[in-house]
Amino acid sequence: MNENIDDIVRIIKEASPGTIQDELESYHPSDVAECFSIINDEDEMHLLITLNHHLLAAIFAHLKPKKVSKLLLKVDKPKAGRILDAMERDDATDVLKMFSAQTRKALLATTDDNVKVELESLIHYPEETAGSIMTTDYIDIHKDMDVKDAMKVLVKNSESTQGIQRLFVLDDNKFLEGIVELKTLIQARSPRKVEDFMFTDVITAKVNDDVENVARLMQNYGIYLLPIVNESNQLLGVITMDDAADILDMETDEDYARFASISKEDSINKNVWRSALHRLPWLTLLLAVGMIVSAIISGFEATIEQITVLVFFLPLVLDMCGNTGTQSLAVTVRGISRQHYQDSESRKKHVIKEIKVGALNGLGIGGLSFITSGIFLIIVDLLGIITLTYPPFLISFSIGLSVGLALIISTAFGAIVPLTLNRLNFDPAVASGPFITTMSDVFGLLIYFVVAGIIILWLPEFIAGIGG
Amino acid sequence: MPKLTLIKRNKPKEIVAITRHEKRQKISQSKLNRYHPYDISEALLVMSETERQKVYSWLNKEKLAKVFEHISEERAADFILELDKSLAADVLTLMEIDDAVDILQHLKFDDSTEFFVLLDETKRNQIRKLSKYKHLTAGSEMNSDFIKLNPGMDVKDAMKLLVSQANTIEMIETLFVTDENDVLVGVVDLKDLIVAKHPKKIENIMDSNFYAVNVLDGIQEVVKDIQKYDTLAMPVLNEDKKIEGIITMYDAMDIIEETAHDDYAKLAGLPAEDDVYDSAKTSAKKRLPWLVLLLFMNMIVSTVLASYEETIAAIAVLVLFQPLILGMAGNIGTQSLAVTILRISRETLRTKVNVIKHITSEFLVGVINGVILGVLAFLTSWILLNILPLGQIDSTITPFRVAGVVGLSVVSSLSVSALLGSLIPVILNKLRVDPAVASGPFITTINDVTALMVYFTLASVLLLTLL
Repeated sequence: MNENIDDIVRIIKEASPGTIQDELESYHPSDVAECFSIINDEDEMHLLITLNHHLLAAIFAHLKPKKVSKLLLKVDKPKAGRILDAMERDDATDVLKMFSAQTRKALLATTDDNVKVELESLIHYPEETAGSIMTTDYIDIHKDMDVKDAMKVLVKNSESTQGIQRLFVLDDNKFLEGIVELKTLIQARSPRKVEDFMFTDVITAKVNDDVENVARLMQNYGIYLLPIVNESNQLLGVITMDDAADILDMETDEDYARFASISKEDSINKNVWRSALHRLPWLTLLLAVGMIVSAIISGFEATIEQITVLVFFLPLVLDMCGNTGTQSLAVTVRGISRQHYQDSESRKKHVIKEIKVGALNGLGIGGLSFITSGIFLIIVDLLGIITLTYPPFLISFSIGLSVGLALIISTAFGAIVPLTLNRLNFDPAVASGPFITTMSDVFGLLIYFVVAGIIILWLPEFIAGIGG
Repeated sequence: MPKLTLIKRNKPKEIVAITRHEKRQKISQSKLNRYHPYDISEALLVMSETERQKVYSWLNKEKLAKVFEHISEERAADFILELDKSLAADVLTLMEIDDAVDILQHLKFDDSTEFFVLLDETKRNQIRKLSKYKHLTAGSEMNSDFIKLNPGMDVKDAMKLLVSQANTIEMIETLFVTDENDVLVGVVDLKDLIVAKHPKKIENIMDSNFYAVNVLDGIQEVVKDIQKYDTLAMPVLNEDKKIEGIITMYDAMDIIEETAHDDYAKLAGLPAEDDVYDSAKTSAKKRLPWLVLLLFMNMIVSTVLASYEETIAAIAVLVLFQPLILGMAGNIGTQSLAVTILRISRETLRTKVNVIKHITSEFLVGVINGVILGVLAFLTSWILLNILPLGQIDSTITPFRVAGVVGLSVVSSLSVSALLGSLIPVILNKLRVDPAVASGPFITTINDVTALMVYFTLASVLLLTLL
């Protein structure tokens, strides 16, 4: 669809002021919006003057609120008001949030009185709540209405309303009494009251609910238009599925980013210094952890000096621990975000399952490590790359055993840590990373050197002692 | 910080309780039918087979089909075998076609043929058509649940048609206008149909300037178009511009979630489908391949280390800081990798200039953080070497010099890892390999090897050769 963009840019440059409105109307506003980042200030001004407020509002819906706020300041006040009137309420609210209180007041003064009231109420909902992404654009009917009258309300309002998949049945005080699916309405025959065929077991969300939960609710139940109510079940607004999809898209990116211990802003940052600074805290923490690990290794200096070959497999043990820990962490965090572990029974079940998984994989990978490291040692010994002072069997056996043990422990931690953090009201996706890394490194090392010390150094002597 | 707020009612749990404890069948049946198919699907996942059998018998076919649409294809393939053969065929017929195909493709060949012959002719043809399309194309995710009009129809007749089909069709907000050859010539927004007054022909209210995708288009791009143009139902056309199916915004939402999970899973070295409801054995089996791969890749790391045996034997104290350097390099590499993959998936890396800019900036981030952390690492390791009760350190190998090597290694390995972390996914993407596979074992091993080589080479040169 890139050719569209080229066409639009050409129209902007060449079309006469009289025809530009008509010509651009045949393109999707989203494509016209994309051109706003390409054209120069002069052309931009030209568009702002020649296009009418309806088209501008449609285009602005596809631009970032910050950009729209800058554009709005360039048009004259009455037109800015008309544009805000024509925009969807949730988009208009996002734009208004960009301004200082004073400018916002001035802009709101130019809008239609009804719109002003709606926008003023929407602006106060905090970020990340259902209220902040809802719109007051919906069709409401009364339960005493006849099918015919309900149909009339629909016909009258459908042009100006974004979502018409369902109509909301409200009483005089805006209490939500039920909904009527559009499908049901068009099939119903007069005379029949709305009350007789409305659906009363309505899934709603509260205005302060977290947006991610709301988006997931809409996804799970396939809801195109979700009613948002206050504590006493009065309808305050609706959320449309396109907004829910955008939220879900953003949140999944965010989860991904957090899992790699980068911040969401990082992926859009253009500034090198800022990117670097964003990632620095986590890396500094790792450095501190690394120093603890160094101190632990120094405790085993004697073992290392005696059996240098152990060092070759240090990365193996640590990588394995880190990786299994991360695997079970990822599974657990995903389960938490899908609200699977809400009672202690299911949490316990999950931890036990992860320990079993760890044990199974520990057995498999431990056995495999024993075999491959054994073969590896024999080959490098034969090739003369290293000279073994201890039997390869003992060395590879201690590698296999410690990999197996370490795997069980790190898998268990991968499940327990995020569950505990979530119980303590920390975001498990953010905080688990450092914990898991530290624990798997520390435990991996301890197990490795202790097991190796026992099997390679202590056991032969012990056996010899018994024999002697 | 977004907390996971508890939803007050746990509906799947209520359903399980009803199946377990409610003795009067009539009551449980009517209770159960009041729940949303999604809740029932969640409940099925935690039930035993006998409990599931009860649920199957209490629900009507239509509802059961809806329930099956909500279950992941793997599990749905297991459950469908628990149904009576003819009921199973009915359920498959009533399900959205793309979901039915997914289930059939997950069944063993014998089972799927058995169901297949039980389906009616039209359904069989539709399924055949859909199975042709490769995974992750628009063709494989579309469904045929939509209303077709023709341009010459009067609005009144169109409305009648709509009313008669509204029960069986999920998506009625967009209607599709086709000519006698089934070529899509326009779309009608339900709003326009509702306000249109008889007599008026459909061609006068339809929009012939619509967006459509091709059956072979990648599903991710289709989802992006749906989001960009706020399309409730995107028509999917074949080469002859005939309409083959639609993809709804609701489908798009599921696909967003699935693909995001794929990427996320790959970053963690997990198979995408590791399911909360899998048994420990199945989970273990699914995670094992990555670990085995990692194990073998790690033998390369061991080989690299073995080749530095002399250096290690001479300066055992170097081993102390080996995990530190590997850990940090691995992490900065993963960070770059994740940023790059996110950018690729958002298509901000389309032009050559952008790619070069991105890689340069990632490298610079690595250098900046490398220098800062290198200095810190130098200082802390120097302090550590002085306070730890270490054995004989050769008089020429002073703590200061060892700390210097550690610091320098951090600087250079962090810079290199950041560079690799951004370069590798870009190259894979160019080669049309999913860049997300670079995560996990591959990037870990590559980072380990480069960091070790940097560390021990620097150590041999600076501590041994120079003396």
